[in-house]
Amino acid sequence: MAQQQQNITISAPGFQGLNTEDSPLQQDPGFCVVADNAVVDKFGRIGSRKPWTEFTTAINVTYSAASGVASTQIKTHRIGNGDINGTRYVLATVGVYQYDASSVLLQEDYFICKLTTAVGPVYELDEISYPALGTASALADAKIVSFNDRLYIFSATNECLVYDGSTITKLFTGTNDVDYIKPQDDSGVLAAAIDGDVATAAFGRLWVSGVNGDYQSIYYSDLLIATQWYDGRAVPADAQNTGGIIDVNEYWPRGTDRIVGIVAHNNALFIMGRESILVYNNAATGDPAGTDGIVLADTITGIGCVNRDAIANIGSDVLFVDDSGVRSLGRTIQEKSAPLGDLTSNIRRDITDIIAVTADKTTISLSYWPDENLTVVNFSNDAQAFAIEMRAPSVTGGNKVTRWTDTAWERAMYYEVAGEARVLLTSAKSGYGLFLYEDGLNYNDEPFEFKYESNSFTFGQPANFKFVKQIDFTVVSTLTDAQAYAGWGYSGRLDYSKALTITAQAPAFYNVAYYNQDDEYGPGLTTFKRYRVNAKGSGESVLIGFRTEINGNTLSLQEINVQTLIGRII
Amino acid sequence: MSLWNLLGAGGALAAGLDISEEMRQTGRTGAEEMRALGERMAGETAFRGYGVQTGLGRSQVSPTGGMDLGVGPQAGLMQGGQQLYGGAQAAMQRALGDTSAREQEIFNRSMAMQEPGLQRAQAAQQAREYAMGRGGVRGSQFGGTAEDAAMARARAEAMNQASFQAMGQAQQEAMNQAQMGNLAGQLGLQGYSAAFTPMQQQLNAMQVAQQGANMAQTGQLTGAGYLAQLGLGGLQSQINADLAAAQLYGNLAGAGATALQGIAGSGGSIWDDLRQALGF
Repeated sequence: MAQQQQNITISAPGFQGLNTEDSPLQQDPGFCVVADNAVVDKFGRIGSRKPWTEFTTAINVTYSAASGVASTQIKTHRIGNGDINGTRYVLATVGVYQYDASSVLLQEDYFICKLTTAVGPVYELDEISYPALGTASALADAKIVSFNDRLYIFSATNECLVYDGSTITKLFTGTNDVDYIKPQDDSGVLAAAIDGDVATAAFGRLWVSGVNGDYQSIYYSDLLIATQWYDGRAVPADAQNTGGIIDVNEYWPRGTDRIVGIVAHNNALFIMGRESILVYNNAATGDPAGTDGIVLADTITGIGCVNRDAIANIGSDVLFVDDSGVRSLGRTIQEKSAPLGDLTSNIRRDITDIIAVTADKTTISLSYWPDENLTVVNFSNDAQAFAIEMRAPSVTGGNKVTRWTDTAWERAMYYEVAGEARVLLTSAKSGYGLFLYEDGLNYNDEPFEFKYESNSFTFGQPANFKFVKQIDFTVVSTLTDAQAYAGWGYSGRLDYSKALTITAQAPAFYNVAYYNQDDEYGPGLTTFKRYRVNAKGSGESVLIGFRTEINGNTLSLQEINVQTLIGRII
Repeated sequence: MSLWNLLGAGGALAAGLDISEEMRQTGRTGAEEMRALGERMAGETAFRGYGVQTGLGRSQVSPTGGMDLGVGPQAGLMQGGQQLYGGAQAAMQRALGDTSAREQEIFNRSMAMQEPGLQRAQAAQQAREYAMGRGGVRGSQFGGTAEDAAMARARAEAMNQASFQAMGQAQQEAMNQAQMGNLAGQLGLQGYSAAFTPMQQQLNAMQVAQQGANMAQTGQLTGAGYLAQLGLGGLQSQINADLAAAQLYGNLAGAGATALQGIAGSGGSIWDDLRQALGF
């Protein structure tokens, strides 16, 4: 006898993001097992991420061609920004690698470039000459810090460089005790140069670790004077100098560790070790070594930071990448030894595995993009990232996480200039300079794939056979049509698929109104449409998938309706 | 001239010669007696010295005027006085000398006494600092932390205080040395002076003895005077007697001569007288 179909609606598929930790059968249907190149979009549903659009059109660096060079790679490694005399500057470090026909590296050159506007809204990276460095290759992992109307470039074993808006000089230029004060005491100069690469600017000072290769100490500058450092002599050159040194070697809760990051938050200085964290309070006082100066407020054992750049201050909290995933510092501190600030708890084992197998931890970075409400942990070595939705956590307590593929960039930087918020990405692809996370075409005009796979549903009747007859995908799309593939299957496999053409209304370009912005004449570009797919097959659990290429368009999956017959008990 | 006259004259002459000889002899004898008396009186009136015997000793003034006090300064007192004086000099030298060494010594002892307390305080401070996580903090204002500087300042203040105390103490000690030196000097001087007290007392005794000696000498001189006077008187008597005898003899001789002359008064010649005397 014919049986009535049951309609099961998944109203917000993937809205809870990935969840590979909990039992699929007992999960909220908002979770999914695949959410590639997806974000929780402005419609509150899972949708495609924005592409890496080309931002800079040229990288103007001068280098000599190596003999026998067959190919040249120009990659942008690190990026930083800051105001100098009221003007916002963006600096990036660029590496030029020349290979022979056998892909053997013949020559490598490193540059510091400034983001400039050439003609119109066309941006370029222009080389800025800098003093000779002992290890220029360290610029590939430089830390660019804005402090008191200057940009400081820190790289391991190289003396700190200073950019004043026009030229780059060494931090210690001139005569000691006159133009600058080296770290020194009556026994002599403690450090000939500030050559650490773990640095931050906070509370009116520069805080640097890695000086002399020492990752147990933090050298901090005088208040608002980056050229004056610890002067422990009986008669200091500047009697008002409050620079100093913090040796944390004896304070690691596990007895040993090393400083990988320094971050300021909530009037405290967080010293991020690889396996532990030290929290210093009162760092904002006039003199950290003074009576009311910094004190060790807390130590956290078993949580550390994998890399200097795997830290993101989101204002209300500090996020960082631990071996266990992305953790929340504020919540970690609040909850002391039982931290629950585990933003990636829904994919904990997945991300833990990725972190574990990433030998070069410098390829792991974390960045906060407030205009997108995203925190992105990027694994540039694997060209993949996890986007963490910051608006609200999922029902499990962990944040909503999606995965991005083809992350052709090493570092991301959110900054605002002239009222415009930008997320710049340093291109790991040769010759592109900087990407911009923005709607439009991908940097290489190639599409990327938005992909969704639900968990396996039993529709509350795990013992019954399901015969899926029809699947309705409610999709919001914009700009251009796209080819999509609906998939379904049983028992955890997407056995079937069917092509769909996702249509979208072309934008109204009347009077040059791009993307429906400021367009008073054309209708909205958003196309809200339901696509029906006739399905077949049967199984105990049902798996739904959807994938499409994104190439200048956007797409979000609003709802999935599954028409199915519930069969007998097996 | 008659014989008698001649005999008379001759007799008178001889008697005169004899008397003059007697008188010369008497003069010589008187002179010799006077010399002998003078010599005797020289011995009788010579200074014979004197002396005094006390419990302290025997003092003498010799006949030649030399004086042997017979008592010297009291050796013990003199030595003690000299020692005290020497000690006083040494004390004064020390008092006037450089006190820096003593200051350092006092300072070291003072710091040694304070050191355990300072160490405990520093250990407590370091423990607090470590507990606050500030053990590794070094600032330009303090070299280390403010607590380090406070501890160092406390230690420096303790050192300063100890140093000043040491200076004061050393100076006080120098003052004490000076006072003690002064006292020792006075005592030494007193002792040294007192060492001569027996001599002084002996001299005083000699003064008393001198009175006795004067009395003795007065008696002696009086006796000698009497003896001289008596001797002179005796001698004068003898001379007078001799003179009287001589005069008597002269008178007798004169009378004989006169008698002879009276015989001769008859006008005969010598020869006549002689024949007459002879009986012719």
